[in-house]
Amino acid sequence: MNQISNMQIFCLLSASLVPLAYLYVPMVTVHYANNGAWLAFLLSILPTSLLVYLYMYIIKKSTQPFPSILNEHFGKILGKVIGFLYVLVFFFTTVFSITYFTALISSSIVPDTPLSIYIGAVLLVSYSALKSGMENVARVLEIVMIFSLITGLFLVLLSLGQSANISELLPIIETSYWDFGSAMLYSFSISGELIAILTLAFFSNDRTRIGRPLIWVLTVYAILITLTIVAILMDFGPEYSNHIAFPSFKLVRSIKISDFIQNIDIIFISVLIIGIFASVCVKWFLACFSVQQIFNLRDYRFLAAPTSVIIGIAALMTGKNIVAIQIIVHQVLPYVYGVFYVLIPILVWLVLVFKPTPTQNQVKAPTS
Amino acid sequence: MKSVKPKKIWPDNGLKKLMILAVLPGLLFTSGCWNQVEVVNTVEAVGIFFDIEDGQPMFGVQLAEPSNSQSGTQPSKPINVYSSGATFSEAARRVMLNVPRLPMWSHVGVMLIGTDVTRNDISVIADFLARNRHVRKTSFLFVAEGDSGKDFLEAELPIESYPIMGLRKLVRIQEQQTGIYKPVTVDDFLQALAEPGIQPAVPQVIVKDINGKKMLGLQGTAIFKERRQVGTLDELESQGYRFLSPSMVTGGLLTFPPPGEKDTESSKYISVELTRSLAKFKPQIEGSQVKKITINIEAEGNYYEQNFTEQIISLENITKIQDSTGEEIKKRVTAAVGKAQGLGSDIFGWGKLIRKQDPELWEQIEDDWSNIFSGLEIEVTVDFSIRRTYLLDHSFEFSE
Amino acid sequence: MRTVAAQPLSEKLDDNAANLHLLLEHCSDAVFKEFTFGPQRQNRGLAIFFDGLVDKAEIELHLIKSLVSELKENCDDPGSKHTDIIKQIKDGVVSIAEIKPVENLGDVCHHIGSGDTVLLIDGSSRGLVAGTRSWKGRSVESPENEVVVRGPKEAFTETIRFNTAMLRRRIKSTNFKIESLVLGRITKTDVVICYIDSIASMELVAEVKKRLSKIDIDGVLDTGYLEEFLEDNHYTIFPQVEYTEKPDRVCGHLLEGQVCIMVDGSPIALIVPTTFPRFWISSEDYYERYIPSSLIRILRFSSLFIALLLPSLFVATITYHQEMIPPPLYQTIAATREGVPFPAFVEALILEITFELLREAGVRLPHAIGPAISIVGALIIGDAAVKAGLVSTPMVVVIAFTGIASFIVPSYNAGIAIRIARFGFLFVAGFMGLFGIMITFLLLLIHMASLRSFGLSYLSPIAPFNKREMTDILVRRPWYLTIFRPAMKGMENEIRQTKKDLA
Repeated sequence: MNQISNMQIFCLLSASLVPLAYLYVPMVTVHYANNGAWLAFLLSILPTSLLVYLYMYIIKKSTQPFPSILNEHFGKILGKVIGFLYVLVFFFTTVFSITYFTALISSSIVPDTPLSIYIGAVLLVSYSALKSGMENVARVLEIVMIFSLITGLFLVLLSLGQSANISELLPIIETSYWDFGSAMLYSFSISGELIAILTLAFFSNDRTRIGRPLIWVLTVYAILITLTIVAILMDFGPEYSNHIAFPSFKLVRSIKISDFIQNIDIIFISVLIIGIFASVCVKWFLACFSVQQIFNLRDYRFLAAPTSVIIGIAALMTGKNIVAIQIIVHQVLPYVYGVFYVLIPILVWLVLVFKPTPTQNQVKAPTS
Repeated sequence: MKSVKPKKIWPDNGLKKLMILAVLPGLLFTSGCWNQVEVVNTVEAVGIFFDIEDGQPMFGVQLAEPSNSQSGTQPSKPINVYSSGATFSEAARRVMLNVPRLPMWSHVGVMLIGTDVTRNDISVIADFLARNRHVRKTSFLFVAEGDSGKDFLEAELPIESYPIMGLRKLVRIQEQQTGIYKPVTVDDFLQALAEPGIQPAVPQVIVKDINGKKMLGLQGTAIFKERRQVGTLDELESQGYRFLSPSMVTGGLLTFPPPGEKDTESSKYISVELTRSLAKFKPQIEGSQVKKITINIEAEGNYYEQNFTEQIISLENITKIQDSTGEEIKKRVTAAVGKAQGLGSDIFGWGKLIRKQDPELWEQIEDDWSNIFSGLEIEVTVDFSIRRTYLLDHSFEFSE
Repeated sequence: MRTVAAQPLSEKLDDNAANLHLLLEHCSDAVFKEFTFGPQRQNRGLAIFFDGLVDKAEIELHLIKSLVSELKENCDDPGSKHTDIIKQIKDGVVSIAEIKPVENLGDVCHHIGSGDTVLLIDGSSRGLVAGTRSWKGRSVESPENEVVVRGPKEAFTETIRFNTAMLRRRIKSTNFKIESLVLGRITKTDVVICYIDSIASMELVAEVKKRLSKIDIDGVLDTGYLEEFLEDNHYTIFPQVEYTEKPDRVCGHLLEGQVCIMVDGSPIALIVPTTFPRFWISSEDYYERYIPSSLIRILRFSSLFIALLLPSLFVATITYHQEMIPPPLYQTIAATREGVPFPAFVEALILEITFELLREAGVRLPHAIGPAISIVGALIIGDAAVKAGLVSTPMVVVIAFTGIASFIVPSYNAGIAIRIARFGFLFVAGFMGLFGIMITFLLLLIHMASLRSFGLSYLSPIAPFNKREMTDILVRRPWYLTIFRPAMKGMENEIRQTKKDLA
């Protein structure tokens, strides 16, 4: 019953990565690398591909879904401790997804409504999805993610057409290589969201071809974000963008087709609601599933109810101040992601390289 | 049989779900309605006028009178409301002291900035324009030139029932037809303010007295330097400024005497329609000095009219016409650059260009850029080609 | 009474007659016809049937007359071989084609209730059932609710035999099975399960039978009674069983491996399992060429969204997101709303309810006064309400447009689900705007994704995505490319045509 198709895995992965990355990766890369942001981002796809290869390698050599992978390779106690840290990280990313989204919606669209309403609504939807099980989450995401990815791409293409100021894409390196490198490292660390594959791969009904959805996610991600960065640079230029709180959103606000279709930001917000819901679902699922794996629980679904309260309160507390949120985006996220989504997997990989391969055919389907 | 057996998730929880669903609408009643605005409580705002009056920000708004009839055939009249406050946001909110409805700020398509603002310090308005979520960044921006003050909102524009909103159409159509003024959106303006190495230039609106009626019209382009308006480009210079846009410009008309004739000697003129034109800039950097900018304009157009009967369309004449059109463009461009250099305001974004090519050099010269800009040599080459001659392939001749 | 019904038939005709008289007491339509036959007229016989359900001429001509007249000549020594008399009559005397023995009183009653005639012979503990069913039923007419332009125009009637005959006429293969069972403690209604043996999943057929056999209800008057027993999820507005009155549509579904359930006395056939997108497919799509059919399908799916969301989107836009409306349009809307006393949400609700009232009234009205309701609707609601300034014109246009879109759905039951959901959306639009609409839409999707119809996921083939089947959902795949049947778990034969036939 727990089998999901690779197509669904593509949707789940892109859900966990694309919607929020769309909001802050262009902003931060433009902040660091100015006109060269698009290239910095594109170049970061190279190390990301290596990271993906690394994840694939770990999957191939492991018999259990993440975070039990850690037990398998680090020993039981260390594995559990690190696994528990991961639970915290997953909850943090869940909370932050909601926080960031509510920050955007309440600073740009409807500021009078209390944050708790948005947080409650997003949580309600994600909760009811999670409660009905992974399979249903996958199905819903399959519909909504494909829809929102296509709409998102369409909106980005529209905003690209607003101004074709190609000269804004130069110079690639303005002042220092370090800024360019920071932009690259930042987008690379954000791509670490793809770690979800370590868990999801074990639900796949066709694990031998798990690479395909990963490549597709990377391609779609690369295209979408690069185009967004290019559009932002061409429309606003780096200096002006650096003043804007949500440049990706501003981009959509500026779309205007023949004086009749304009101010369509609310449509973008609707698409974004879907994306955020999808993103929250996947991250929350990872958190609950990790708890289940670490404490050897029977099911993860019942965890949705108690954790929803925690997430709700945490989101309310983090979402108080826009300045704090921007600091998290700029300075906390890359380190958290860098350590947990990049460094520790590299450690796992190192352990695997120097460890004899486990006997094959032990691969178990996850129990839930 | 296992596979067909239904998964019993919903039936068990179903009743609970149903109850939750029944409770939800109730919750909605308690929690919704924050940003709800009924249409009957709103009024359409079509244009905004910013100015300084008695040292305080003055905010004027043109509202569209909601017509009461269901058919809505009779044209509604504009209603102008003014208010003032310490900041423009305060002034805008104080409009509510006189207006019982919420103006739809996001529908504002045109914003006028009075000269009291532009000639003193536009920073009093920049933040308002950039931060306020109701200000649509695609609105067109104009400088309200002259001391007409409140006349800008009272003046008329033919045909349009809301003159301010009509400016939106006006500025775009005149660009296509005459090719004089380049429309500027709030976004363009803010971007030029924020970026080093480029200064904003905004078309100006004036109030003319025609047969006792006050009419709106476009005249000149305001150019800025260091948060202040420092001067104005006239029609010719505005045309030149438009030719120097970094992106392609389309549309416009150039009228000048035919090749071989002097402007002053005869009343013979030809009109050439511009279809497209693209300017490319090349700064010449010698060591750490910027000496010269080479401007290369490639343009295309059609032969539109001649007000005399001589045959001038021939293969060799086409080249001549092309050359003299090029000369005309060059004349306009040189005029525009001369004016801008005289005022020391880099409205063309050449500093930005240098920054892109040589960021390190830019760091050195940035502080002194407006002086360097004023002293730059320019070399303009125009490559104009005539493509079509419309419905006549020879000039019109009278049979006598 | 029940003890009597379970009794086997006795050898004595008088006992049987007495028991039957007891069972059929106060049944004024029961006919007991006693007669004697045989060479010496020493054999007594009793024919029992219900008046009105049988073809009396056939009983007289082929049953009683042949016994009374023919047995006189052919029977050698009837008195000595009592046990054979039934077989002899069955095989040699009576010329009715459908005849079989019956052994207990309960069966006797069931058969005469179904319109058969039971023949009891003194001295035999078995009786004979002669198929003499014939009653005044509705003849085969064109469908009333599923009107098609192109394609068969037959509809089921209330008589189950006619219905199965219509199916059999279309599917001549012996693999086409019609299994029958009796449901309803009092009504004893015949129910048939139709499927194609080599195509339908046997697990599915077994599951259908299992669910049907669990039903213990006193009466089954329509397939609708069974629908609620067959569906997987009870707490949902979405139908999980498809129904139709067109035999060609049933056949189309059978060929795709689905199972059809019919009930005597109902012209509606149930089809299981089904998925949500199938409700938006009309049988006519498959009869018209694929290009127009595909375009019409796209139109139909867009009408689904219009019918579901348009009023709520309109309300959300004009109460929360006015900036989205282009200024000239906003002025027009504002001008018409000037003076309307209700908030947009209330206005939409009033008009929606009015529309539903009109529609429901129109459905039940006799044809003669049907047009009257349109006049009332068009004049009073459409014109007078606007002129009186109670509602605004754009809102009337929006609701009317929604109404038209909601008529496009080919299935009535799915249409009702959409109508219910539309009200839900209207409420959230009125209180939370587009944000609420999106949230509700997601909740609806989650709910739909969790539904199953006989194990088949309700949103398939959209989710889980199936490329092969998607070509026949949003668009109609041309027949010459239709190589596979829609895959279902346990389906035995997925190949529709061999590839070499491809052009």
